[in-house]
Formats: sequence, C-alpha cells, structure tokens
Amino acid sequence: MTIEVLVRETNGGVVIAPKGPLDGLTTDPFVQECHRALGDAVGHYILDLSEVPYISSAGLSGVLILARAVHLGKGTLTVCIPESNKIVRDLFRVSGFSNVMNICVAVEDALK
Amino acid sequence: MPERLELSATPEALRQVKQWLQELKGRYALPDIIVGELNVILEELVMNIIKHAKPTPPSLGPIPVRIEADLSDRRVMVRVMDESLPFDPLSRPKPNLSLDLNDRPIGGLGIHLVRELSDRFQYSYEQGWNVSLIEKTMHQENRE
Repeated sequence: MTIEVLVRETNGGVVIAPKGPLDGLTTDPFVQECHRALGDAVGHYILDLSEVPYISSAGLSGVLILARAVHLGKGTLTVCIPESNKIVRDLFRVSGFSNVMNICVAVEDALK
Repeated sequence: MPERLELSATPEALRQVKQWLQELKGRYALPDIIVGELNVILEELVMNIIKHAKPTPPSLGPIPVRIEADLSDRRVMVRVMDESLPFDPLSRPKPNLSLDLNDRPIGGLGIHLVRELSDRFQYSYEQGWNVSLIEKTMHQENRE
C-alpha cells in the first residue's frame, strides 16, 4: 500500500501533506516519505492533515516519529488540522497529542 | 442482523476490513465520520488480535476472526470475535497521555482510542470466542 505525500518548500517552511488515511497500511510509506523530506531537519516543518480522513494509532505513531526526528534536528513542527476535520481533531485530542504538539487550523497560519 | 466478515488473524486482514467497510458505506449510505471512526475502531481491535491473541490448543493458528455489524439510522453495533485463548482488551493498561513527546512510547494507544470513539465497549468470552461489543449512537451531527 502506498500513500501520496506532497512535499513543497515555501518561504515559511516545508509543507508535508499526506493524502488519504494514516493507518496500519499507509504509515510505513508515510514515514519513509517524511524522512526523505526532512533532510537535515533544521527549519520549520508543517504537517498538513487537511486531506487525511482519519488517523489510527499506527498513524499517530508515524506523526510521533516525524515530530521526534524534527526535534532531534533542532527544527520545529506544526500540525495543521482544519476545524471541519472532526475525526482527526478528536483523535489528536483523546490521544493527548494536542497537548504536546503545535496545532493550527490552516497552513497559512503556520507559515506566518 | 447482521453484516458479517470472516477473516484470519494475519496482516492481510486489515486490508479486507477496510474494503468491507467501503462496501458497507456504499450499501448503507453511511456518513464519512462514522466510516472513519469504524475504520479506526476495527483496525485497532483486529491489530490487537493479530498482536496478542494465542491459538487455543491443539490449534496452531491462524486464528479465526469474525466481525458482525448491525447498522441502523440510530446506532451502529459491531461485534469483533476471535477464536483463541481468553484475552480481554479492556485489561490493557491505560496510556499515560501527559508524557512529553520524547518520553511517549511508540504504540499502546489503540484500545484507548476504541474506548474514546465508542459509546459502549464490552468484552465477554463465549464458547471459545473472545467477543468485543462496540456500540455507537448516531448523534445528529454524525448523520449529516
């Protein structure tokens, strides 16, 4: 199983945007794509989850791996989840991820 | 009652579960939010079986898994069953959600997510089968 992960560099940081569920079938390829995008991991990274319909515990582990890799490289990570994406927002909240990660609702906010 | 899916506790099961939910979505016109939550619930329960269930001797495996779903406008009831030694997923320790990013273990969240996404989550052991019963009430916002 593969997952489409769009990576684009902007003046405000590198935007990583997976498209599709982050689950037990897609998290390994997602993490591989993230490692490819990170390079030396210095700088600001934005994980855009607007096109992710749901995320399982496997997907949350993938986000945790990404966050640690960014922090290890002294970079910063912001996770974007639109208000309309209720499932992913809920899952970040009940897993406690919302308390330990920078969360925003729109990529534009994270790039400011 | 009910829709039924028969599986074996192998990595292929996850793909089959997701395909089955996609079929149910079409047949019952299920809202995206319910389909998303059911995807998470069933993935966590099936992965829990794959990782932790032990075959009942003299069987050596693979462990038979059966999923039944009863779907209506007002509620969704799902039974996830596996024929193996007794194993109560609700006995798994609750994760420490206050840990910092670097101190958090990778994994261990699955059953916690099922609890949070369900209105009812019960376990029983019936004639050699572990049975997890999940109930979700269709709240107004979920029906749209």
